[in-house]
Amino acid sequence: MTANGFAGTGQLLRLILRLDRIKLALWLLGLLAVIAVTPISLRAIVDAEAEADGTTAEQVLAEQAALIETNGASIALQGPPDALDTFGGRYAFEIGAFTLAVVALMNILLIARHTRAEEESGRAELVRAAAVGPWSALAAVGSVALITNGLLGLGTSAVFIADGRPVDRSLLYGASVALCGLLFAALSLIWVQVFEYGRAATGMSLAVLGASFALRAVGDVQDNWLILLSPLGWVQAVDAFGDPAVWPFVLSLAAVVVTVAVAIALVVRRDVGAGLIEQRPGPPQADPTLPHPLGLAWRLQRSTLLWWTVGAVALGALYGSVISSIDDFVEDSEAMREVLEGLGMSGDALRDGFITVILSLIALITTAGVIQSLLRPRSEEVSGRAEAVLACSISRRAWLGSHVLLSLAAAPSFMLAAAVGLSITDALVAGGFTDVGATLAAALVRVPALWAVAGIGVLLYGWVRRFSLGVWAVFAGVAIVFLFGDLLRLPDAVLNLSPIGHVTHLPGGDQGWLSVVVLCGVALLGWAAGIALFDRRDITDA
Amino acid sequence: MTAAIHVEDLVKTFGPVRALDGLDLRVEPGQVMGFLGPNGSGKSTTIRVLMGLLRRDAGQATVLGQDPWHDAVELHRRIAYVPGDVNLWPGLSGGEIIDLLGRLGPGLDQGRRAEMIERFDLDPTKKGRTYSKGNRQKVALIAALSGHAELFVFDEPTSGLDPLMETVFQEAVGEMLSEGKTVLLSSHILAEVESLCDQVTIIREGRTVEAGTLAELRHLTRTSVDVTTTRPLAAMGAVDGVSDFLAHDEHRATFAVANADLPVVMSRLAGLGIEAIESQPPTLEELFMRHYAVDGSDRSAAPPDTAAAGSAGDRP
Ligand SMILES: Nc1ncnc2c1ncn2[C@@H]1O[C@H](COP(=O)(O)OP(=O)(O)OP(=O)(O)O)[C@@H](O)[C@H]1O
Ligand SMILES: [Mg+2]
Repeated sequence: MTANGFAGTGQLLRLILRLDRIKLALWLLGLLAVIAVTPISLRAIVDAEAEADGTTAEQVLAEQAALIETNGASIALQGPPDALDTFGGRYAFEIGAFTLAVVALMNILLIARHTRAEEESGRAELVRAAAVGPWSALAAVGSVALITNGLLGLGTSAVFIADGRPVDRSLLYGASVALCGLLFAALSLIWVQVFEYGRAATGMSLAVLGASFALRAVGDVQDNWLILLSPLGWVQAVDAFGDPAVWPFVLSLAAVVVTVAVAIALVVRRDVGAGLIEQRPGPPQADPTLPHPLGLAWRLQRSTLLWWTVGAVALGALYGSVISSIDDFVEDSEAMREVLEGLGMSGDALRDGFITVILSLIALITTAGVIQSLLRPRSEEVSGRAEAVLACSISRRAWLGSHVLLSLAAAPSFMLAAAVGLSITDALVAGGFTDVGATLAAALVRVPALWAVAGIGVLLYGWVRRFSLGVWAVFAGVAIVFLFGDLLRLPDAVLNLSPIGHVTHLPGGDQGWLSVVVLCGVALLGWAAGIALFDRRDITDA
Repeated sequence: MTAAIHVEDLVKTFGPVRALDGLDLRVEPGQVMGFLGPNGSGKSTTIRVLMGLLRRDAGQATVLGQDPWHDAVELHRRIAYVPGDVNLWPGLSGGEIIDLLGRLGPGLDQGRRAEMIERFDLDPTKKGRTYSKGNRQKVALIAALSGHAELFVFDEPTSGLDPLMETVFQEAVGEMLSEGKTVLLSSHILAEVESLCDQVTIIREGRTVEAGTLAELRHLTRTSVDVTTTRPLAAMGAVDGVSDFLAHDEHRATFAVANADLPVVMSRLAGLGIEAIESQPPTLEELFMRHYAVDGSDRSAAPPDTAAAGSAGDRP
């Protein structure tokens, strides 16, 4: 197979761009909006403070940099505290690892959408049967990834240049953002060859993303080699506004080349529609628990739920391992202790503050798992399998209720799993358990937030199936308010609307129980209304 | 006796689309009803209303004496349904899916289950994702045919089955009938309808256009006749019920006769002295073409040497 292996790539490329033009435009605009808003709001904050203190903006920046450098929670969340005394460096820090993770997510979903999902639906077969080479699909979706990330990188550079940052540094930073996207696109290309199912491939890519995020978080807090294990860590090590490093680019480009080469080699080793992992035969008869609404829902969801639980333990464990370094910050520095005491805080407060942020972050991440679980009925319906089951003697309430019940049970399971993981590694590193009860309670107090988002999802699904993906928009809103609410100086009324972050102050703080009650109320209403509405609507696969 | 399925003036809209527009359907207990109509005419929509999956906008529907929407859960213990597009759970084996659908539905007879797996030649240990289209169909058919249902609802059940398996399916349905079960069968395979169904209902654009036994329906169409007489027969062209008259010479002509008018036409021909006569009853295809054709006009697909696909105005 020579050049013909890529025959038809141009047409496929145009097809993907046509199918995806709105989706990709929205992703790009959303990401660039978050990136563009950072300089504007940060500058306003710094200028206001400078005016109030009668100093210069640079001095304010330097003071804040000193505080951030000792704040393990924000380092774990956002990235290495490099060049924080420059505006560029501070913007990059505020944009942070989380935005980079979203860039990665965009790429993972893009690749899955145009490779595995296409094959599963059988459309790929139609395309391959036409005069199209075996590598054309890869080349086409790869080119789309190149274009998308290129535009994102250029847009990011433009934002920084418009703010008056040096052109070369701005271009370097934009390039690092684009590189982040390409790295995860390339990684996903491999998983979609290995797994037969889009869901499994996407899950694997997301697991890699989660691990990358956590590894770099620990690496950044402890300032050690762990970041070398994380593509996100490489990208952030570029340090565009401080002391720029070249090795991350070399390493990343090499990784992209190798992964793409592996993907190309794998494509021709398997059949269209098949994966590299063979299917084992199943039992000729069903377990007696399967023909039961809850049994069926459990069977369909269990692997997703178990993987999320494992992921939650791992995430908690990674963060738990850095808690004692926070204590070390304080113990090592007499000055730091004085600053804190001046603010009326103890070393414990710093520790609690860290756990509070981490648990809220984990709550945010696992909300995605709960949403995935509650959207399972949707994919059952779209595929036509719900029709087959609901034509049996099983009520709609029992069917939807079983799936909803699992997604509800998932919320405390994920949070407890994370809290247990966090407590165990903390104990291992520190040589003893500290206040496990408080950590577990703090994890549980966040569960109603997950339930409330789930309630909105159930309501949307039960009402009109088309609306159900809107729950991801709710999730995006919650994430933006949690991650950027303070930076954007959103009014308290808006901050309080978000179930995650602002309304929980455990461990250590005072918990307002009203919010817990309200969240439980929203959740209950959502489930009840969603299930009642579902009883009334058509079941269709169209 | 109450009907197994009774549908009157059924209306179902999807936004601006009027998928069902006053549809009527009646199936008596113990009947096999063929349910026919062109693509998009509303067969699957009707069946989904009958299975309580879609909510009707207007009209009446009763299944086994109960309301398909309100009494769905109870009813589904008595009905076996095979949807048109069978989608299986990728991670469940065929055997698991048969048990799942069977036990959640009208129950499973273990002996019959084993027999059907054998007859349909299915490997029940394969995972759902690895079955071919025909094998996916078999899984759903086995689940339906192994139970204790009173009513079977099949939406294009044999699409994707090979001819051998089609025969197995027809035999199995035959057995259900001899046990007094009722069957509603939507299909595009006319041979299957002809061999299984005693009654057919033909719909178009969401309305019933024809219903009755196959014999009755044949009666509504025309027979083509090629006749040679001893006396000149030119006058036959003017006889009521004769159309598409084509005289080859003075004594020989071909024409079409509305079946209802056959007795009259035949006696006129007899008066002319028949030397040779060849008549062709309408085939099922012709019957359908006539009803499937848009606005009742000819479809070029109709064989040119028959006059079956007449215009609606010709109907007796
Ligand atoms: N969920 C839906 N939403 C919108 N329109 C629909 C939906 N389901 C069916 N329709 C429309 O209703 C009409 C009837 O469709 P239906 O599937 O019942 O046809 P059918 O007779 O089963 O056709 P076929 O022979 O192709 O299976 C079609 O015009 C179809 O587009
Ligand atoms: Mg249909």
